[in-house]
This record gives sequence, structure tokens and C-alpha cells, in this order.
Amino acid sequence: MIEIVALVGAIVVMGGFAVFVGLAPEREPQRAQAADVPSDTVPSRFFGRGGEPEVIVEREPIAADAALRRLERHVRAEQVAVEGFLRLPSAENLRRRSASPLVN
Amino acid sequence: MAAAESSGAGIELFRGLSASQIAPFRPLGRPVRLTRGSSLFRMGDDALTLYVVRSGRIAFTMPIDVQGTSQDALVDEKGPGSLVGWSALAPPHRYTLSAHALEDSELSSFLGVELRAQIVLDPAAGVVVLLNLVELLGHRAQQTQAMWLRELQRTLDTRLG
Repeated sequence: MIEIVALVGAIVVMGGFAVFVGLAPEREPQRAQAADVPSDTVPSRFFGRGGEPEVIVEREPIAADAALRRLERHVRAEQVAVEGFLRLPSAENLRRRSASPLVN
Repeated sequence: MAAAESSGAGIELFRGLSASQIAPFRPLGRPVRLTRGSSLFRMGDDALTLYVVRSGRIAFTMPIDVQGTSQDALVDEKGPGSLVGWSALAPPHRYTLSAHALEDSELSSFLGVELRAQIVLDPAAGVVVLLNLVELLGHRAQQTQAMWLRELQRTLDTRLG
């Protein structure tokens, strides 16, 4: 009986982990993949001049681009929020929340 | 030349000038067309030219490190009637950020040296232009201060709870 409960528990935990991984941002599994490769199995100059796995380097521009888009939305939202303060300066208007994705 | 520009109405820098006062400034402007993504100037360039946006949208960017690589991050953007590149009017005449077109844009460019000469030539109009410039720069400074303080507040909230 105890073995069956333990087995069911293990399946639930594994299932939960699988769901979690599935919901994680796209690039996270890629990082995990690269990090999971033991360093001693990757020749430092195999197909490249450096020792870093190329897959991470190639994904960076996409991630950086997404970060920049979020920064743009942040700046625009903050400017809108600040305009309210400039029209009517007060501590409350200065602290008024913006619609920025980075602070909400 | 766009209607707003020919009358001076809607252009921040020339607001409040009479038709006769704005007339000498008009021939100083030269049309500039930018396709989307084209660079207008880069941070650190000599600021020889000031621009008035006639149509489209201009983005101001500064370098920021994103995951170890330097990227141009948007810090402001300006549309029709706005002034771009005021460093051409004030020493040390060096652009402190980069500017590029967010979409196909038309601008009028004014050489800083010619604009400054016209301001001296007609002091009455020059005072109006400079007061407009003070108002613009004051607004941008206040906007930057307020945004900076909001970021400071968030840093405090995050670090000190």
C-alpha cells in the first residue's frame, strides 16, 4: 500500500514538474540544455574558437530584443504617468502607478 | 513645406512668433527625409544641426547593457512639431543621445550656427525662440527628474522593503 502511494506521489510530482517546464519561458529550457552538458564532454575548441556553447550565444539577440521591447513599453508608460505629475505636481501624482509591464 | 511649418504654428521652437518674425527663420530650414530605422545622429557626434519634426516619429536612444551586450534603449520619442537636437544651440554642441526614425519621417534641419546668428540679428524674435527653448528643456528636465525619482523609489522599495 505504502509503495503504491509513493509511486502515485512520484508520478504527480513528475507530472507537475513537466507542466512547470512546459509553462516556463521559451529560452529557459535552452539554457538548461546547455548547462546540463558536462563541461568535460565539450571540447573547448570543438567547432568554435571559444569554449562557450554556441546555442546560448545565438539565442541572446532574441531575448535581448524582447527585453528592449519591454523597456520601451516601460518608458512610454512612465512618461504618461509622469505627465500627470507635471500637470499637477503632488506626492500622490508622483507615486501614481503606471501601466508599465516592468512594475506591475 | 507643411502648412504648420510655413505658418510656424505647431512648431515648439517658433511658437509665439509673428509671421514677419518667423519669415527670416524659414529659409534656414532644409528638408530631410528619413526612412524607418535610419539614423539621424549618434551619441557623441558634434551637434551642428537642430531638427524640427514635420511628420513621422523620431526615437531617442541611449546604450544600456542587456544580458552583457550593449543595446540602444528608447529613452524618449518625438512627433510632428517637436524639436530634436537642441545641443546644436547650447555648448558644448555635442549630442548626448542617439536619434533614429521609428517610421518614415520628414524633418527640417537648421544649422545651429545659422540659427544662433538669426537669434542675434533679431533679438526680439530671438528672446521668444530662446524662451521657447527654455520651456522645452525645462519640461524635459522635470520629466526626467520625475522618472528618475520613481525609479529611485522602486529601488528603495526593493532594497529596503
